[in-house]
Amino acid sequence: SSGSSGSSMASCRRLSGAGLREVLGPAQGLLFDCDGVLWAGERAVPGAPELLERLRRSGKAALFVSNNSRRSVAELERRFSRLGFRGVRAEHVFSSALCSALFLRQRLLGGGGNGNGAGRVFVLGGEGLRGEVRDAGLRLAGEGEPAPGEPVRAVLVGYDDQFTFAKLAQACGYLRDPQCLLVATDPDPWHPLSDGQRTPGTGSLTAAVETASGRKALVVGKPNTYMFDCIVERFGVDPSRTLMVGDRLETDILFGKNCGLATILTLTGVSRLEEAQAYMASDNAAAKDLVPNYYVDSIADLIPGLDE
Amino acid sequence: AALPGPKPADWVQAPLDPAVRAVLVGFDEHFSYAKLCQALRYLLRGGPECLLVGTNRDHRLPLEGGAGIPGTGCLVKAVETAAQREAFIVGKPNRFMFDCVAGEFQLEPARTVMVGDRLDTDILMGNDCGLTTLLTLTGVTALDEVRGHQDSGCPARHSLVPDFYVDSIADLLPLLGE
Repeated sequence: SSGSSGSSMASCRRLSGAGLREVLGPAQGLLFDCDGVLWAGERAVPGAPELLERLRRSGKAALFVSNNSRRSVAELERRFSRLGFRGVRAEHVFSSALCSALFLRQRLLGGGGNGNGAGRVFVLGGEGLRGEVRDAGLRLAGEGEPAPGEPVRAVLVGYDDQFTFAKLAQACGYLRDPQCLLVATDPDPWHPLSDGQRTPGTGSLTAAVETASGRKALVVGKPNTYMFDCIVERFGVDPSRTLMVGDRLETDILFGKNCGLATILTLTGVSRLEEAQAYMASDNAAAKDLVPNYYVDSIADLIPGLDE
Repeated sequence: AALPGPKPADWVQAPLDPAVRAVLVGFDEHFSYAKLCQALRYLLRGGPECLLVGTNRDHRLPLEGGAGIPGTGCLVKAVETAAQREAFIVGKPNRFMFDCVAGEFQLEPARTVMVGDRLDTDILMGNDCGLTTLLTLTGVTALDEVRGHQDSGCPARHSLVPDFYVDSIADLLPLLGE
């Protein structure tokens, strides 16, 4: 079956041959992480576009869930197309930028209504993230004339390559108000660059803000389940018939476990097979939730599991 | 050195200084993502051969009126999180600074008093180093905070309790002979 049972540990089995058909056959859809799964930098993983095409022909849904808070979903739709993936529309893509905006809209605007009096959001992040927050009907601190009674009601920490001490101090000023939310797009400590180097992630910036303010951030991205709630609300997926495919054990695989999805680790990204095996062998109870049900060298390996 | 280009993808192309063997994080009001990026590059290049040192973990520097600015601890945490490793912290409550002093000045801990206003740095270091500890109430700590630690059942919190306290260090004057 494609589901993993409650408390038993996943066994990190290589998916191939008959096993592949047994797992993919009953699945109604797959959730894919993007970086390190579909592409690495500006290069699609070989065979990945074909896999998505074959999924479509098999009548299986493909949705995308990414912790990357740099780009708007409109930009991501263009990126999919540019890298050779056909038929992926913005509505299929759930980025931490989009979901953070949806989360803030829920919390600040409640069940509806306009932006007046809802308060502003101080965003630590780039234009992609800022755009998603605006598109959700929220007003950003530092933009336009502040209306009376429009305090900053949330600080949103995302990937911010223009982060500075001054912005950190400004965020802390807003967070002195206990009513002001502290939200982070994702917990990722670093991201790989194509030449094997690493760039600091949102998690490192969030750690600075948490330490300065004495507050704990609400983290929207994987491994927390809010992004799955967004997916279910829009597309109504059945977790027992959906597979999660990702490259990072601590986010993608744990996310799958938390949402009740069977998980497939692909080895074209961050995590190594040895790390999954180490978690499997660990005495630490939390480690077992980081073990994928299955693994493949690349998502192209899933193609033989689909009907011709 | 100036960074080549405006983006991280440019920054990571800048040559690294081959002589760097430690990243030291102190108070830096010009801290930026670009610097964090460089720190991470040196730590990854050097692995355990490159030291990661922080001057202290204070999370906040208080200003007047209850305001404050972020402390060095925030910047240390950012580097530790990106590099997924723990910094060696030189400052209190770590005993390193006491060892520096004791080495230079032949101190006997049993005959030395540590005077401070902060329980989790000054008093903790003093207690850990076997000094007599004296809390002064002219700074960040109020007496009921001490009572809270004293009454807790937790041994770690008992290490935050000073041997003595004064309202101000001026109160020591009458105790000293003419």
